[in-house]
Amino acid sequence: MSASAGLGAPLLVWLTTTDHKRIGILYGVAAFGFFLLGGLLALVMRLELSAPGLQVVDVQTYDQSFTMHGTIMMLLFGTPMVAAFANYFVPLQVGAADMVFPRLNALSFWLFLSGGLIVLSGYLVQGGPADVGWTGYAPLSELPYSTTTGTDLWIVGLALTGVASILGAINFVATIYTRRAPGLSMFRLPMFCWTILVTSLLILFAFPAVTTALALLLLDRRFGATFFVAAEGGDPILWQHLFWFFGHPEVYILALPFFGILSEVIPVFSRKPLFGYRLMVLATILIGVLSMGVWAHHMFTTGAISLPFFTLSSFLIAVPTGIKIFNWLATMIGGRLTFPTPMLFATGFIYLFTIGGITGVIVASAPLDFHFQDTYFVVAHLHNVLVGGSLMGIFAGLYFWFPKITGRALGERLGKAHFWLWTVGFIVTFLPQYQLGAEGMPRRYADYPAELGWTTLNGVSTIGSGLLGLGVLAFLVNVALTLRRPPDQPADPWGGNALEWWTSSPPPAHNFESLPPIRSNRPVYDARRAAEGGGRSGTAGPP
Amino acid sequence: MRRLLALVGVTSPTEARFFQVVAVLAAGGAIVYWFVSYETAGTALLGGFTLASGLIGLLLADAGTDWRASAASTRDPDRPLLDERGRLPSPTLAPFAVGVGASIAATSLVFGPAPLLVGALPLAWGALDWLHRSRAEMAALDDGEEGQ
Repeated sequence: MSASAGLGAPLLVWLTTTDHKRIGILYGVAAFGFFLLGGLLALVMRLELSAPGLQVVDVQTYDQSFTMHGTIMMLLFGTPMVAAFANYFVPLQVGAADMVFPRLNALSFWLFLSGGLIVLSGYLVQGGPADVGWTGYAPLSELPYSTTTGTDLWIVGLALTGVASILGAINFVATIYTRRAPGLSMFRLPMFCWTILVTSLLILFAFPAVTTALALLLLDRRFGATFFVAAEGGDPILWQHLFWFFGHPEVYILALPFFGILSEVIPVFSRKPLFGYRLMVLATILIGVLSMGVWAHHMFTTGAISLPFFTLSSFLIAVPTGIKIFNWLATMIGGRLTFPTPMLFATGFIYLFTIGGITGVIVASAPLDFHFQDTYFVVAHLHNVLVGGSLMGIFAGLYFWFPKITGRALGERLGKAHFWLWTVGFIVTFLPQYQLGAEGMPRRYADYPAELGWTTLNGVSTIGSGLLGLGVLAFLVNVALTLRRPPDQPADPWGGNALEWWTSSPPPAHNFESLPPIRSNRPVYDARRAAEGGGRSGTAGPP
Repeated sequence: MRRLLALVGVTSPTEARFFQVVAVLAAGGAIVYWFVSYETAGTALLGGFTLASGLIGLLLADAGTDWRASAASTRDPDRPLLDERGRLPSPTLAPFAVGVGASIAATSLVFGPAPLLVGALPLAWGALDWLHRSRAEMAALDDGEEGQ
C-alpha cells in the first residue's frame, strides 16, 4: 500500500510525492503564485511612474519593488516555469516512467520553494526586503549601502534556488541520456527535449558562478571579507563578471525551453513536420554556447572589457536565433494552418520576440549601448524578449498541454481574449518605453521632472500594464472555470507528434501502458498514419 | 585505438559528442578572448566552462563506448547510455524534510546559530530516512537480480 493512501490527507500526498508530474504541477503553481506577486509589484511601479512626483510609494519602497519584481520574475517565476514544463514533459516525451532521480527531483522543488520564501521573508524583517536591484551590483549591495537584513535573506534564498536549479538540471540530463524509449535516438528527440538539454547545460555551468558570487557577497556583508570592496583591495567589477556570466545565459535559460515549446506547437497546428530539424538542433547548441560568451556586453560602460569581442559575439548569436525564426516560418508556409489559442501565442511569440532580438542587436553595438545603458530602452528590450517572448511561450505551452495535464481543455473564447489583451497590452506598455529610453529616461528611478515631457508616454505605458493585468485575469478565470468541468479530453486532442500524446490525459501513475514503434521524431504521428492505413509503422492508436 | 577515437569524438555516441562539441567551441572562445583582452576573470570562467564540459564529454564517451569489445557490441545503438536500474520510490517526506531543514539551517548565516539547531533536526531525519529507503531499494533490486 502506498504511503499516500495510508496517510490520507491530500496535503500529505503533495508533500510526499516523488512523481515527476506532481512535482511539475507543484513547480508551476508555486511559480505562478510568485508571478502574480511580481506582476502586482510591476503595477505598483507603473502607477508610481504614471505621473511626475511620488504618489503611490516612497523611494525606498520603489527600490525594493523593482528589486523584488526582477528577482521574482527571473528566478522565482521564469526559471521554475522551465522546471515545471521539463518535469512534466521530459519523461513523457522520452517514454520514461519518471525522472532518473525522483527523490532528488522532489528535493529540488522544496529547496526552490524554501529559497523563494526566504527571499520574500525580507518583507517581514526590519528595513524590508532587498533594495539592490535583481543584479545586486557591488558595492551598492555591500553593507554600508544596503543595511537591511532583507538583502542577506535575498542572498541566502537565491543561493538555495540556485542549488535547486543545478540539481534539477542534473536530473534532466540524466533522464534524457539514460531513460529513452526503444528506438528514440538522440536525433529523434522532440525539440523540446533538445532545448531542455541545452538549457540544463547552461544551468550547470552558469549557476555556480552566481552562487559563488552570492557566497562572496555574504562573506563581505556578514563576516568582514572584502572581495568586492575596492578600498580594501577587492574588485567590484569581479561581481559583474561573475553575475553576468550567469545573468546572460539566464536570459537563454528563460528563452530556449520556450523555443522548444514553439517547435512542438507550430508543426501540430501547421500539419507539417518541423522544418530543418537537425539545423534547429545545431542552432539550439550554438545559441547555448554563444550565450556563455557574451556576458560582458552588459558591462560595456565599465571600460574594463573588450568591446569588439563582446560586440561581435553578441551579433553572432543573432544568426542561430534567426535560423530558428526562419525555420518556424518555413514550417508554417504551405501548411494547413489553424489558430487555436496555443498557436496564437506561438505566432505572437515570433512577432514580439523578433522585435526583442532586433533591439538586442542595437544594444549589443557598443557605441549605441553607451547611449542606451541604464535607460528605459534596455528595460523595453529585456521585456520584449522575456514578456513578449518567454511569457508568450509559457502561455502557448500551458494552452497546448493543459488538456494533457488535467484532462480538460482551456476555453477558447477566454483564451483568445487573454491573447489579445496580452499582445495589445504588451505593445502599449513597452513601445513607449523604447522612446523614453531613447530620450534618456533612466531606469530604477521613482520620479522624473515634469518639464522633460515624459508624462504622456509614461501614462500610456501604465495603461498598457493594466491591459496586461486584465489578460492575466482572463487566464485565471479561464483556468478556474475549466477546472470545474469534468475531464473529457482524449489522449491526443490536437493531433500531436511526440510521445506525450500517446498516453491518456492525464497520464497514469507510471505514464505509459504501451509505447508505439519509434522510427522518427514524430512517433505518434507515424502511428496515427499507420492506423489510417497510410503510414510506415503498423501499430494501433493510443490506448 | 577504439577508445582514443571515442575520446576525441570520432566514434563517441551523440550524447558524449554534444559535450565534446561544446567544449571545443568554448575552448575556441576562451583562447580568442584571452588574446583580445588579456583579462583573467573572464578567461578563467570560459576556461572552467571548457574544462567542465570537456571532462563530462570524455567521461560519457568512455561510458558509452564498448572500447574493449572485440565482437559485436551488445549496446542498443540508439541508446548507448541506457540505464534502467532502480525502481520508482514510494512517497516519502524525506526530500521535503531535507529541503526545508537545509533552508532553515542556511538562514543561520543571517540570524546566528539558532536556525541551524532548528533546521538540523528535519535535515538529519530526512537524510537518514532517505539513506535507509535507498539501501532497502538497492537490496531489493539485488535480491531480484539474484533471483533471475
